[in-house]
Amino acid sequence: MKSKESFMSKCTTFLIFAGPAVISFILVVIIPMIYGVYLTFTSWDGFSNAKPFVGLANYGAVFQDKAFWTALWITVKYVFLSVIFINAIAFILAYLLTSGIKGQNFLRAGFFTPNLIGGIVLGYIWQFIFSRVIVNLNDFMNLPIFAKSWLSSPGGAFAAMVIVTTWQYSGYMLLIYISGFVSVSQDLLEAARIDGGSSGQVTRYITIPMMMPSFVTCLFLSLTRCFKVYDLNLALTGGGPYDSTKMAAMHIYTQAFENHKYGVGQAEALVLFLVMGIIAFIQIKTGKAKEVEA
Amino acid sequence: MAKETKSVQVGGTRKKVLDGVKTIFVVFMFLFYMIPFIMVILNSFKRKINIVKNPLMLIDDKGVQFINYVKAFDEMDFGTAFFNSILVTGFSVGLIILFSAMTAYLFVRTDWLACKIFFALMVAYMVVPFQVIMIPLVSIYGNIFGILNSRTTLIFMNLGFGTGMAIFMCHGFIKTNVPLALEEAAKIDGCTRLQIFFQIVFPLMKPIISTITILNVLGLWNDYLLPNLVLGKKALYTLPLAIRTFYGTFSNDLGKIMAALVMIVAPIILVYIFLQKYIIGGVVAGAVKS
Repeated sequence: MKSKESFMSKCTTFLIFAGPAVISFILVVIIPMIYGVYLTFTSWDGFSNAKPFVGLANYGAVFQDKAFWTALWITVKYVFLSVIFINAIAFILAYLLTSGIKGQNFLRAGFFTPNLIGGIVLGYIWQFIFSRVIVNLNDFMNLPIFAKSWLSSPGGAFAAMVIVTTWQYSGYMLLIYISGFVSVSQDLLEAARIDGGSSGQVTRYITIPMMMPSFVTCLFLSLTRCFKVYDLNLALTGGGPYDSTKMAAMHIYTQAFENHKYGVGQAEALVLFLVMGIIAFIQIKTGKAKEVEA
Repeated sequence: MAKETKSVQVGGTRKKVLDGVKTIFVVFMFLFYMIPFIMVILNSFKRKINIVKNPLMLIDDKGVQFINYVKAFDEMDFGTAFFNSILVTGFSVGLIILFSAMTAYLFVRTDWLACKIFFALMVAYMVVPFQVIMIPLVSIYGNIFGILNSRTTLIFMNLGFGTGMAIFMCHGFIKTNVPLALEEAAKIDGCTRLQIFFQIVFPLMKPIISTITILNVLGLWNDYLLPNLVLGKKALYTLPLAIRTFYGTFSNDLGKIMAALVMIVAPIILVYIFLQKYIIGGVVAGAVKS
């Protein structure tokens, strides 16, 4: 279907088919991206018409913004712990669900439920659990760790973020691990068993290597989603107490829309993207290297 | 999804016990996962005093209370927010599907330079976090154009943000699943490109369209950050914005909060019960492809 068309007719075809998608993409993604880089060189406050050019001063400000590096460090810790728990639990549950348990489909659907609901609502639901229900458990079980709401102490609030995130995304990753388990060839497993492999050995040396693509996908998804966390952070802890759970995304939001430092905020957003990108890139490279052919 | 395969090992008592332990563990985990929802539902039917005094109490001593729902429905302006959510999600998803499918079709069937460039840009954009775009987005559309506070603007932005992933998925689908021979036959019969697309290609794309619909409906229905930046007027609020404001105003009135949370979650769960198979299939397909 190529070559014979004139340039004009190509242009018309392009506009008819790709026009709306491409134009909206340019207006909403490409232009703001370029404009965003420009903003990092100005000290714009969000209202005035003047956007004074300040050169690299904002990047200097980013390096001196202690609150940002604290937030980024908290985010990295949160991502690290959440990703480990999410994937460990999801993998174990997927293993158990595919080992011939009755009601597999129903259970799987149930575990996935939190992913149908937005972070704001999930945050409020768990705020109620942490600050009312669990505290109430203390009344008749007398468990000192439940005496005060977890959300009122820095460590507790951080743990709450990790717990809720794990609860939410493990049900999601579970689906991907299940499809990984199901896709491992039965012939291969049978051959390994005939050769005398115990079920532990079969899992360790056949199933897990064959499931490498699932691991790569799940780690990537959980990693990038956790790095961008905002809604849950806002609703569950609001960044508190004393900014101890304020993640990078929330810090960027405050910096731009509350402190009116648009340039600094945008520069910090680029740093967050860079950090996330590098970590995700390393994860994919190392993961892909471990993939095996059947 | 393939059927579960029965274990080939010969079962003995040991295997039965092991299976029992596994089942108990999974069911226990399942209940643990469901507890937050159950607690919120139970407490939404209680008076505030009994929620505060004993959140674990099953039923209020004065019987099941529906008053929380009545109050929350009115005070949150649930009807308006629900309508706004439907409007924004519906139009956004519809436009994303139509325009992405058309674009992907052109991208697959031509080797024009512009197509290649935009496809590469759209695929690359999928890894960019929204935080990188949000600040310039607000300054361009708020300060320069002044067109925030409009559902149309939000729908247009949803289209711009959603189109990358949708085109990527359609692209892969058309390439492997839509036979070129069929299109060539239609061309010989005198069909134009648009006719070929709408009469032959688009109907063949149903599976990928349902996947994209599911992923986008879930994402947009629950989206908070972008609507929060675009919609500043209460009359335009979608459900996540409405619950946030409601919570801010009545955070001490627990009964109403619980009822509001249930009202927001209930429609999603209801849809999920009927379309469970498709939603799970769609999510898996989407995750594995991207």
